[in-house]
Amino acid sequence: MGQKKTLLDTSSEVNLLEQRLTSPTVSLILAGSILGAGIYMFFLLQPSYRGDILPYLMVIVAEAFLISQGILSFWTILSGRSNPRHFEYHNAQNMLFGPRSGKSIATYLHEHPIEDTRSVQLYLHGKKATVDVFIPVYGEPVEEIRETAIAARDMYGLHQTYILDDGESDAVEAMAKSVGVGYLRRPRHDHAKAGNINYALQHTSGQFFIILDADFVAKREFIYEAMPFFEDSQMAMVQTPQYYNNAMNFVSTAAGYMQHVFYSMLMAGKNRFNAAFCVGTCVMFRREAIEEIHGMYDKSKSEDIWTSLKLHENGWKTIYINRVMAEGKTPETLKAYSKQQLRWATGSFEIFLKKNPLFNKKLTADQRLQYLLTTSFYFTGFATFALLLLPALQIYLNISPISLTIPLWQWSLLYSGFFIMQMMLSFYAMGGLKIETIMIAAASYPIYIKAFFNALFGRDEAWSATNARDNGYDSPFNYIRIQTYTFLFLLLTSIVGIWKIYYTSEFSIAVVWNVLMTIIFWYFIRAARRESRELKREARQERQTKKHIKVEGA
Amino acid sequence: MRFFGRIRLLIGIMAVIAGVTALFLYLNYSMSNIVSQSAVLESDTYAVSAEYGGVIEKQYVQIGDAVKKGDPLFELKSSSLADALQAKQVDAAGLLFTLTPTGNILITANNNGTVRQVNFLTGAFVPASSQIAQIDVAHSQYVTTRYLLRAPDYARINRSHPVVVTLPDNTRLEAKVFDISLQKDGEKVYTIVKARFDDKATINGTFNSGTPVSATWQLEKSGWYKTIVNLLKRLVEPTSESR
Repeated sequence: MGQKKTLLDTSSEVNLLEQRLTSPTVSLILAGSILGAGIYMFFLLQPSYRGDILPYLMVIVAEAFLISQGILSFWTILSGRSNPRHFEYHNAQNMLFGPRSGKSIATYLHEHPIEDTRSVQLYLHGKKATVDVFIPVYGEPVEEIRETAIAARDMYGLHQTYILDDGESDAVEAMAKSVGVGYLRRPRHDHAKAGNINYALQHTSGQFFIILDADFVAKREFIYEAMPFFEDSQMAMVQTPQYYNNAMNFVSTAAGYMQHVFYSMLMAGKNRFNAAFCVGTCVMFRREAIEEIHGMYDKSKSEDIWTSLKLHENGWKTIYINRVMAEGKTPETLKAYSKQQLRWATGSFEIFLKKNPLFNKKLTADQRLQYLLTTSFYFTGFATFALLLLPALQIYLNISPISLTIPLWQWSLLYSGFFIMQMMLSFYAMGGLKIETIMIAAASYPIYIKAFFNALFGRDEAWSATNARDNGYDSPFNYIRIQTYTFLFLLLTSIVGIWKIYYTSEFSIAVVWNVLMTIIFWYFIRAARRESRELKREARQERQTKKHIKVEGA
Repeated sequence: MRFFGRIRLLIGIMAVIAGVTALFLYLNYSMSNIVSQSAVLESDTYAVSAEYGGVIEKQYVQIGDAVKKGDPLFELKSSSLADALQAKQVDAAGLLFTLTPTGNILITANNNGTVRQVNFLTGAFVPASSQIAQIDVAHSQYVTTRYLLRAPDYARINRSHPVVVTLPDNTRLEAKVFDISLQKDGEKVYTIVKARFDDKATINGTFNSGTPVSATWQLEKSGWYKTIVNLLKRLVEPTSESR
C-alpha cells in the first residue's frame, strides 16, 4: 500500500514540474538571470575594479565558465518546452496493437490478465514489430533482479526479455527460468556492459531493444509510450528518465534531486537540438541503427554517451521523453555515488578531450553546442575548487580578486543580480532548492578533477572494480578523503580568519564565505559519519547472523 | 586495507594541519611587517640668499643641476652693496660672498647637492635677504612614511628595526628610524615615521625629494600569542568592582 502511494506521488511531482517549466513567468526569471549574469560579468571585467592578478584570474575564469554553462543551460531549458509527440506519433500509438477502427485496445489493456497483455502483437506502420528487453546484470542481489525481470516481462505488447548475466550466477539462471525470461551468459567478459549488450545483440533478432539496469522496475506502458516514436525511420533511440524513488538518506536525496533537475529540465531541451543522449538505462534502441555503428560503443566505460555520439554522427535522430517509465534506486552510499559520478565525469571528459564536439564536423551546429555543454559540465569541479581557494588566499596572503575600494554593498548588489535570480529560478521551477544538492555538488569537486586526469592520462580507476566484501565494512571515508581534508582546511582557515578579524578589527567578506563553505562541508562530513556508523552496524549485524547460522548448523 | 586507509587519511590530515600552520606563520610574519599608507623621499635642504638686494645678472645653474661646494650659482648686481662699499660701511674682505672683478655679488654653493628650487630668474630683482634658490644636500636623503597602526601594534614598535623602502625602480634600501610622531586625520591617527638612509646608499638621481615610494616596517613578531595570552588573562582577572 505504502509503495503504491509513493509511485503516485512521484509521477504527479514530475507532472507538476513540467507544468511549472512551461509557465511564462519562468521565461521572465530566466531572462532576468541572464541579464544579471551579464551585468555581473561586465562589472568583473572593468579594469578599475581589478584586484590582485592571481585571484582575479581565478574568479574571471571560474565565473565566466559557470555563467556560460548557466546561460547555455537556460537556453536549452527554454528551447525544450514543446511536446515531442506529434500526429504521427499518436497515430502510430493507436495502431501499435494492430490496425483497427475505433478506440485503441490500449484503453482496455488493464482489464485483461497479464498473460494476455504481454503477448499482444506489436505493429509499426502496419507491419509486425519485434522487441527485446535486455537486463544486463553483474553480481546484483537475485531478489532485485527478479523484481526487475518480472516487471520487464509484464510490459504490454509481445516482447522477449533476457537477463544478460556477467556475474556468472547460477542462482540468477535458476530465477530466470522460474519467472520465464531468457538468460544469456557470455563466454568472455570483455568491454563491460557494452560488450554484454553487443553479445546479446548477436544472439537475438528483435528489431528494437530496451535496456534496463538490474534495479530499474519498468512500468507496463514502457513499450506503448516509447515505441510509437520509431514510426520515424530516422529515429534511433528513445530515452526515458532515469528516475529514482528512494529519497531516504543524505546521498540518495541529494543525488536523486540532482538527476531530477538534469532530466526534467535539460534533457527535454536537448530534443530541439536532436542531441538527447543515452544514459545507459531505461532506453529503447532501433537495432538497425546500432548495427550501423557496429554495436554499442565498447572502448569506454561510458558507453552510453559515446554510443549516442556515434548515432548522431551518422545522422540518426534521438528523443527524450519526460515521462517516467521505470524507477530505480539512486546510489545510497557515498562509495556508490563517487563511483557513479567518476564514471560519468570520466566519460564526459573523454569525449571532450579525445573528440571535442565543437570541432566534430559530422555533427550539426546544434548538436556541437549541446555536446559541448554536456561534456564540459564537469569542469565545474575546477571552478568549485578555485572558488573554495579564494577566501583562503585573501586570509593568508592578503590578495583579493576585486579591488578593495569598492563598497561592499555595491559588490553584493551586482553579485546578487546573478545569484538571487538563479535561486528564484530554482525555487519557482522546482518548488525549493534542496540544501543537500548544493552540498553534494560542492563536495563532488575532487571526483570531477580526478575524472579529468583519468581521462587525460587514460587511467582506469583501480577501486572501481574492487567490491570490498571481505570484511563487510568499507568506510565511506576511503572515498571522500579529499573532502575530509577540504573540510579540515576550511575549518582551520575560518579560525585563522576570525582571529585575524579580531586582531586587526577589520571586517572581511572572505571570512564569511569561508565560514559558509566550512558549514557546507561540515554537513557533508557529518552525513558521511552517519553513513559510516550505519554501515558498521549493518556489518556487525551481518557477522552476528552468520555466526548464529553457523552455531545453529553445528 | 582498512588499516592503510586510516593511515592514509591520518597522513593527509597531518599534511593539511602542517600546511595551515605554515600559512598561518607566514600570515603572522607578514602582519608584523606593516606597509605604509604613504611614503615620500625627502632630504635636508639649505636656502641660498644674499643679504643685499639686487638684480640677477647671471644664472649658472638650473633646477636639477648637481653642484659641488664652491660652484658659482648666481651673479647679482647690487647697488646697495656698491653704496655700502663706497661709504666704507663694510669691508670687502668681511663679506659672506666673493665679488666678481666687475663688482657683482657671486653666490656660490656652500655644500654638495642638487638645485631643487630657483625662485628668481635672470633679470629679476631680488629684495634683500630673500631666498633665491634651495639646494638639497647630497647624501642626506630620508624617507617620511605614514602608517595606520592599531592599538595593540603600538606595543610592538621597535625603533631599532629599519624601514625597508622600495624605490620606484624596485631597488630596496634600508633606512634607520630617527623620528616617530603622530598625526590625527579625521577619525584616524597616523604614525609618521622618519628614517634616514645610509650615507653610502646610492639613489638614482632622478628620484629627488617628493618621489613617492613604498615602505614596510617590521614590528615585534611575538604578537599573536601575546594577544591570546592577554585575552586569557582578561578572562580570569578580577574586575575593579569585585576587587
